[in-house]
Amino acid sequence: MKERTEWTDEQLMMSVRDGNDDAFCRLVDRHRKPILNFVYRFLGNRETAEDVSQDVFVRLWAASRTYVPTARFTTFLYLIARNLCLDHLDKRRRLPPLTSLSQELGAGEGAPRTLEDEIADTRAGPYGEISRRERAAELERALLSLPEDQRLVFVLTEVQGFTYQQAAEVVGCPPGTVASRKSAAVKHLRTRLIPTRVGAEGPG
Amino acid sequence: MNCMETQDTLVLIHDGEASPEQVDAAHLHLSECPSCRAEADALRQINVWCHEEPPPEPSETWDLALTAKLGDLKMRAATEEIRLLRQIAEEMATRIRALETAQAAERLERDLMNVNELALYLHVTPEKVRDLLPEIPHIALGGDVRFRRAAVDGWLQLRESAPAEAPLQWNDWVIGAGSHLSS
Repeated sequence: MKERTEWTDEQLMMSVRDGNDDAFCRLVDRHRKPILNFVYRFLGNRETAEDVSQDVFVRLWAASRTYVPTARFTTFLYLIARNLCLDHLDKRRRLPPLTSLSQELGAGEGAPRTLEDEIADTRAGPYGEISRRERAAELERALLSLPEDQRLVFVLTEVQGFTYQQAAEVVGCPPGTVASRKSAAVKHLRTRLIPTRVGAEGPG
Repeated sequence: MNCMETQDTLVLIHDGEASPEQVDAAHLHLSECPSCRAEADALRQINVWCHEEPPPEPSETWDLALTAKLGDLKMRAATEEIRLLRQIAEEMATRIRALETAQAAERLERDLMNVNELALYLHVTPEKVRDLLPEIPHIALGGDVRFRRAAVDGWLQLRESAPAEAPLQWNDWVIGAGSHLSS
């Protein structure tokens, strides 16, 4: 099928404002994967990310009535996503804490075990596969250990590929602050993820 | 450039935010600092890890759930719209009532006519009004007179139904008149 001249996000959004549901579907189709990824990286939970990413588009639809294309559409969209993520974290903070996966279970014989150890799939597989999965989990934990403002900047610039200017618009701070938060985030992740100190030429 | 500045600049270079001068200075430092070279590797490593896992795919029910949430929102929006319309209608009704009260008060104020106004009201000349003055119910105000519309209307009504030859006592219609006017 021949695609007609592709509309910009802003044009689609104006069309949504005028009640065009088809335009809304196109916007959702275009942005749901990156938004899901952003929310997942920021909140660190797939189910929550699924739920919150839908809410982003619900909020987008509701906001379309008042949409004025003064800012880049992506800035607008990620602003919604950021706000919903922060709302979610706020709400979670008010709830009693869940049992952490890495919290040690009750005293038993042998080495202290965590829930994570209990549910881990320890069946041997291709070595690389397991280490990759472990590394992904490690990265997820490391990301979650970042302060929220640093994590937001890191996910926007590193995962979503935003420029500092774009990230600054979403975060609501000067680009210089984005730079310093990014630098702090990288230092934090580096110490957590790559503990081998400089000069120690250990095997990988 | 020292190690700390270089490592901050490395992040900028990695994000494509460094100036050409910063890039040159950092490269110069890197060429002679193995520990900063290791930091550059670490940065690359982190980036690789961030993109190693494919981004999560929306589940099969993602669209369905969104549609349900939107339907919910649209319904709430419609309910809200109806509520707003009702509110507007009520507000309009209140305003109309207030307007009517104000208009009635205004009419009451205009209820008091002078000779010229009464002449206009009766479609006669002011002179004719003065001629008829003893007949027409009126209020004497010093040297001046005023006519109350209700009293005038009543007088007209009586005049309309009364036989021409039967003279009538009009003093009943005089409001605030002195005792010398009553029979």
